[in-house]
Amino acid sequence: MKTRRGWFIAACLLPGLAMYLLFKVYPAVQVFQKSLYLWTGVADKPKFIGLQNFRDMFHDDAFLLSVRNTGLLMLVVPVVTLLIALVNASILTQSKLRERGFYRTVFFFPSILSFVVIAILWSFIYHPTMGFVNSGLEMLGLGDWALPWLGDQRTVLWALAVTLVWQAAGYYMVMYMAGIDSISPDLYEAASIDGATAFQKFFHITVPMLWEIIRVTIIFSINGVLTISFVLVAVMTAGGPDRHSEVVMTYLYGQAFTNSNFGYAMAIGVFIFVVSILLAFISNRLTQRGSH
Amino acid sequence: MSPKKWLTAVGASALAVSMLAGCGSNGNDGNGNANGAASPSAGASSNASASASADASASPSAAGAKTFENTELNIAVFQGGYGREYWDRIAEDFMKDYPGTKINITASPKIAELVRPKAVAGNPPDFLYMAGGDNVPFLNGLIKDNALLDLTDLFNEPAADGGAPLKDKILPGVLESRAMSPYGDGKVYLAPYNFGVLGFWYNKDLVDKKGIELPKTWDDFFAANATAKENGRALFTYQGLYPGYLEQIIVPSIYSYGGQEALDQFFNYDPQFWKSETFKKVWGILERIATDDNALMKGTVALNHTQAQTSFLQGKAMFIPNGTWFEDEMKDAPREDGFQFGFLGVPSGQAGQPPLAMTNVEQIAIPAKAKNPELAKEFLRYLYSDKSVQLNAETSKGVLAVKGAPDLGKAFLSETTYNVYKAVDGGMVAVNGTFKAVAKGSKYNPSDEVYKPISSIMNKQMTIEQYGDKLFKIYEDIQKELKASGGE
Amino acid sequence: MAGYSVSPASPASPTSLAQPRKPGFSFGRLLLRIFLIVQALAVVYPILWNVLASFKTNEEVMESPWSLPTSLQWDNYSRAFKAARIGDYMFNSAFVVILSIAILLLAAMPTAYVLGRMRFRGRAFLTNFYMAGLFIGSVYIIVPLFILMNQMHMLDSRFWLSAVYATGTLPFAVYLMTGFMKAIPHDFEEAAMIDGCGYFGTLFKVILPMTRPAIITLFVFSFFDFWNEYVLAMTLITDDAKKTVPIGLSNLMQIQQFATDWGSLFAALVIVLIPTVIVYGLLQKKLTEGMMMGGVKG
Repeated sequence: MKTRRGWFIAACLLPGLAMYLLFKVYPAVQVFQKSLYLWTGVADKPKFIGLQNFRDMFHDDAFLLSVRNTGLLMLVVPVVTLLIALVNASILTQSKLRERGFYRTVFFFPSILSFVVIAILWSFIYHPTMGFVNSGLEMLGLGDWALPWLGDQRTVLWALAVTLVWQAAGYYMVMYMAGIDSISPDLYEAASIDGATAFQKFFHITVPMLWEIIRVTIIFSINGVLTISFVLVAVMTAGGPDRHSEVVMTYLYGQAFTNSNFGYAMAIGVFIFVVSILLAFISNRLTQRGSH
Repeated sequence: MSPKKWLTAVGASALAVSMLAGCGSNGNDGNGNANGAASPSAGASSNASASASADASASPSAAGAKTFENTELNIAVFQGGYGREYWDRIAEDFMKDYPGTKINITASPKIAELVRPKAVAGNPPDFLYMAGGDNVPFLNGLIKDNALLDLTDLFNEPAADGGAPLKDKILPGVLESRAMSPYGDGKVYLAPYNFGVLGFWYNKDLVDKKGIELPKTWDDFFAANATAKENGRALFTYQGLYPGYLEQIIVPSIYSYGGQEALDQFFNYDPQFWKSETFKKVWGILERIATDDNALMKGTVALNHTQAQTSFLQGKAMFIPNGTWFEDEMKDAPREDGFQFGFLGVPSGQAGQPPLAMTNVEQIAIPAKAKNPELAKEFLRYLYSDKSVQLNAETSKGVLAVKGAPDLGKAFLSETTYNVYKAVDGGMVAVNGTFKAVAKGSKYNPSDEVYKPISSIMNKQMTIEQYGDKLFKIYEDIQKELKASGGE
Repeated sequence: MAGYSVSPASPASPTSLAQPRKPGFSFGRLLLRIFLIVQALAVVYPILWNVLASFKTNEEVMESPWSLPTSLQWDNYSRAFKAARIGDYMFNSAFVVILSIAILLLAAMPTAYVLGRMRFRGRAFLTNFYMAGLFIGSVYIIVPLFILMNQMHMLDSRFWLSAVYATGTLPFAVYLMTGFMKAIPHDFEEAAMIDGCGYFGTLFKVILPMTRPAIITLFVFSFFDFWNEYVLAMTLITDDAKKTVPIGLSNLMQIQQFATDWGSLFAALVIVLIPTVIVYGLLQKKLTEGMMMGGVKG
């Protein structure tokens, strides 16, 4: 009996563990180890150089710019996305509009589109002449405002941020709607009787009751920005103009697979890895509430 | 307009093929009296082409005289503007002439992606043809790693058609250039494939109808802005997202203003280049394009190469830089009525100088770890036979970097393309160069460092002084890395 | 929970939304509706424009984004299928997504069962070991993963790509399922054991059916992850015939003949949209339920 149970446990754990060790743990260990080497990955043997890759990283202007760009997107996009999602969720759940089902469906739609489809679509929306952002402005007689959105370093990140928000706002809205639906209606009733306005109810009931979900969505959203920005940048801007839309992920990828600097790319990988763990930790600490 | 007339229009003086930057030894003074530099034409100046053109359809005689232990050859080729048909056909011919051999072809626009895994595993293909921005960096990685086979002997041996050494068939200066001899030790590690001419294009139909005078100097060029405006278009556009195309202005203009010396500084990372007058003049052209009213087509910086090129074809801009593949590349794109391709080269710095053009030669290499280097060399030799040159013109519309190639392929090349090549014969100064290899493990990709920030100049977000300071630092850094890694 | 400040009974402001039985029209509602309609347009219009553009000729696409196509260019669609191989890409994507989810469930379910419902030495360690994996994103490890798979000749294989996908989601799946398994009362197993089901019998006949909601959640999450995945697919698959939709489409955008053939590019986008819309239409309810669970529990 004992041994049979042991065999069963082993048989259950083994397939998952084997995959996990091979495709996740081993490469992760390799990243840390090989980040200490000079290695072009083409034909030579790796050469140990200690922390040189990390020293280079902080003198590498292109890398620092990509960190700045990524940081900006990671700050702006989750805040705006989640705010829009919360506001829309409150409106749709509280206002009892007859067409709320329709809006729910429509707003959710972008989040099921393939990222590449979104990237291609938006690169045409922003197209300086064919795109309807600019031709719309021209029609309204605001032709002077028609910028080459993806070609100007002052606007390119904001243009990408708008696309990121467009993609994700509906997704989080649906999550929040489900959360609000599970809040007891009595709370809102009681508040109404006390004469609370919609805004008061939003800040004093909805947000606090959803707080745990909001915490989770912050982490989700930050990770989402990291993943999706890679695709958007790769398809829409190739990091241009002059690297002003390069994000850390695309820079890592380019150093590895275009410039053949495998060791340096892994050092960047270590950097992102450490920073993302720190961020998750910090965001968790900041959003923790005393007695929960 | 006949080709002859057109040649006069571009100011035919004597021919000058400027030696590729970094050769140093034979600094051509660019005034047309080059020390006997042969032309890439069929002008029977060299006995090699005299014997070669005698019977172009004959099969190479070397066939059968050699046997190969390993009869299987794996080749990896770039499939871009020139397509892949040439490779399929030439491989077939080779297998016929060398019975028992077998050639396997891998072709893709992103060929480096396919080859990389094999190279990392120490099992590269026997033969690489790499071109295109996605693939060339991989080849540079192989150069950095000293992972290519020395081909010097092959070019000293007789050509496939027999007779003189193979190197005599190749366009003068090409094998000595850094693109083919990357280490500057006189040894050839890369072999040339198609030879391209790059410069400004315009709508010939419009120019002929309106009797527009084509600009010979940069001053003329900016003066043409008024004409462009009259015809409802901007003066200039380029492949915005890929500012690397602007090398077609920059490289010839550095030569025009500062001669070979300045080009050497530029390609060999001499930081002083960024303090020079030449730099200020050349980048001043770019700054003026960015700031003059109507000079740069609206939205250019945000367009990819096809979008910008389509706008040009539709008459939204008067000039655009591109290479000889342009016509073929855009064959399906919409265009304004009557559009005809016209090639102008690049305006020169001062009046009286002949116009310039940039040339580039695509690269073929055999990895040092190739399983079958002998057969790969034999196949490479075969590519330079007259039969192959003709086949290449027919199937890829390309011109091999072999003497007399444009004339051998004349029947298959469009008139525009043929004329471009003849223009280089007829007095245009051809300029070329390649960046010296950076140190192994360097995070710099020189052409990115030089060309990417030009977007900022075009967006008026960076002055050329700021740009010069930035590049000065980068060049110092690259030099430091080279010193540290034992380079000179 | 935080209390709200009780304000003295003031007349409810016109924007008060808390009057469920308030009849018909009010100014506040109109504003709300306008606010929502503007947003809906921002979502719908780009997609509608894409559909329209897919029926236009090249010249019409370039002319104006507001015009309607003069005639329906079905030709764009046949070119997207023939020359652009969009059908192949879709097949590959479907194949990889289904295979990945199958591998994921096969690996995650038994693991979660054992970690959630059995006591043995090393259980706590293993649980934490998997949790750590939540932080290892695929892009950080792309380089060593590429080298490893290259050495083991796993590149260019849809099967191994699926295995990597499944592994990527494994920590999350184990975490989600373990929590779920813990909540199932133990009586069920005891009863099954007494009935003579072995360990495996109990797992598959008794426990699995009870975890359906968790499986649906996992399915929803991973389906979109796998369907969308870009970086791994770009790096681990090189053969054009094996590429998935995201990579195929971005290549399409780059490859020369299509960069000037916008009609068929947009047609390709629409073709890719259609199955997504169908799946969404069928699974909408399940999808939002599943999301809720993942969001609240995850």
